[in-house]
Amino acid sequence: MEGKHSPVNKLFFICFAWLVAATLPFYSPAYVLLSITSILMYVTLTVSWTIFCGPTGYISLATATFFGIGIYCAALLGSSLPAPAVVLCGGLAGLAFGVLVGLICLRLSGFYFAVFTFGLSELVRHSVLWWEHNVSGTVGRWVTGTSITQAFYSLLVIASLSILAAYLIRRSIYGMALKAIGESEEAAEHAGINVVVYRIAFFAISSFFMGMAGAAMAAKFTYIDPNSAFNPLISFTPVLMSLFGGIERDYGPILGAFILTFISEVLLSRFPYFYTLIYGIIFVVVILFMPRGLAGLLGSGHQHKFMDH
Amino acid sequence: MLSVNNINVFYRKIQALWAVSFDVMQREIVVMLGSNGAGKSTTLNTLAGLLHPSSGSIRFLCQEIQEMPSFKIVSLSISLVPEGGAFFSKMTVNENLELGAYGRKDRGKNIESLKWIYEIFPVLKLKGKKLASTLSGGERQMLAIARGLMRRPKLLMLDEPSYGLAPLMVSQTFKTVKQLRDLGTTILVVEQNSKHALAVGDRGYLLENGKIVLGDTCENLRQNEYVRKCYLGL
Repeated sequence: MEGKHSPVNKLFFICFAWLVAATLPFYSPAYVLLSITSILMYVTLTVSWTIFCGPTGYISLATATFFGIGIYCAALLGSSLPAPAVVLCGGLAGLAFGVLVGLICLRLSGFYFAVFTFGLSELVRHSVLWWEHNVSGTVGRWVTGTSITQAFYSLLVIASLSILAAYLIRRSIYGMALKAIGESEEAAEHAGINVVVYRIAFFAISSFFMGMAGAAMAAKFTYIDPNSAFNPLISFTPVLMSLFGGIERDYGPILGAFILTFISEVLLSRFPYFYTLIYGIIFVVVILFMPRGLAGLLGSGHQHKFMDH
Repeated sequence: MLSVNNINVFYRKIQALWAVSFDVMQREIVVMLGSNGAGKSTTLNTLAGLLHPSSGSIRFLCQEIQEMPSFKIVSLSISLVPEGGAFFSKMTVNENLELGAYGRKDRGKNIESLKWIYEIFPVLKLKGKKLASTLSGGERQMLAIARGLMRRPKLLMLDEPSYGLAPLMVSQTFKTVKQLRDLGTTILVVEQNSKHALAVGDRGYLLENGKIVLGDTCENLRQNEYVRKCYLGL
């Protein structure tokens, strides 16, 4: 690799970006902080989605489920536990449900997997809706609010952790195993990979980060109901962002989440009526002309990065 | 080394193998001949743990393996090279080889195996960083066999290694098989190309409609009237 991209420079860049982010609340206006927080949320969701779905190519449309579970965890526990514990509980709830979903959809792959996970997330949304109406007798719930600065910091930490996890997994032997599973489960099994355990474990790990993101974001929403917590749009956006950024590179999903969230915030304030239309056009253009995403345009076309010795 | 005892294997309600029994001894090449649908691949897939027999037993080095899941059987040093190679086309040649030794902790040993494999298949060294999908048919077959060898298996099972190869490549492949046996690997090979298989094998079995109808040394099988007529076309 040329000097411009040497590991030291990369590390320096990462530290610099992190430092800028960490000191942001001291000098930026509240609304900037608010949009950065939602960017960080989408970064977490997209990066954690890519942990499992990137190498395997199984499109999960259940992101909203794990995110919503995190939110409801925060709503239920927010008043009785300190904030970091709430976030951790949200993550653990996501993890537990991830294991369950992983167990149920073991035999599924390809579009059956996508349809199943989408159906499942709708089922969860309607079940919670039913429960709230008929059992708890409420429509929505209040979440004990925290300051925007605190929400920002928890999301910064969660996003950093998910990026670190994605980076390490991708570079490890597990990353290669997931890729092998995506190409052919049977051949992966022949190669001595415990396909069942890996599928469940890495699906659950990505659910863990989604749950944490939900629990941390809940404080910002202050009022939640099943339709907003389990919003199906949350399931689709990570897929779009990840494809937009390019899943072949580590920074692709981060870049995708950053730019698309930014674009949608700008569009929403400038063109509230044409927002989804323009967003849709951008996406069609990306799929047609940049099949490998932004990272594909920027990169040198060297796709097999993570196992070069 | 491997002894298969009266196994019956079903695909749901359809019986594919009927009381199949055979043995493989250390350091020999055993060939299993049979036409399409005779149950050759079923036999190998059962040995590899992808299918499980409804009755009967499979012993490998004094251990019963008929109920073990596939990834565990692999760790006992049994490698299967499936029909048509079954490699990972979107990965590089080196990544494919690395997956062949998946789960082994000792990295030093992996590098040693890699060196050994490069010696047997020099072409793989040249194409190490290329995507597996860019290889030619013969190279793919070599890659598939090499992947099976990465773990230094005690038993290597080959499913139709001549599948889809040009005649010259077929002889080349069987030469390699013989070379591997001489280096100490035990090999079970399933083939339709009876002529080549009987030429390199030590012992052979004839599989017809899921049953073993004949088992003898390859020498004797080549002389056998029935084999000559039905399998060698003489």
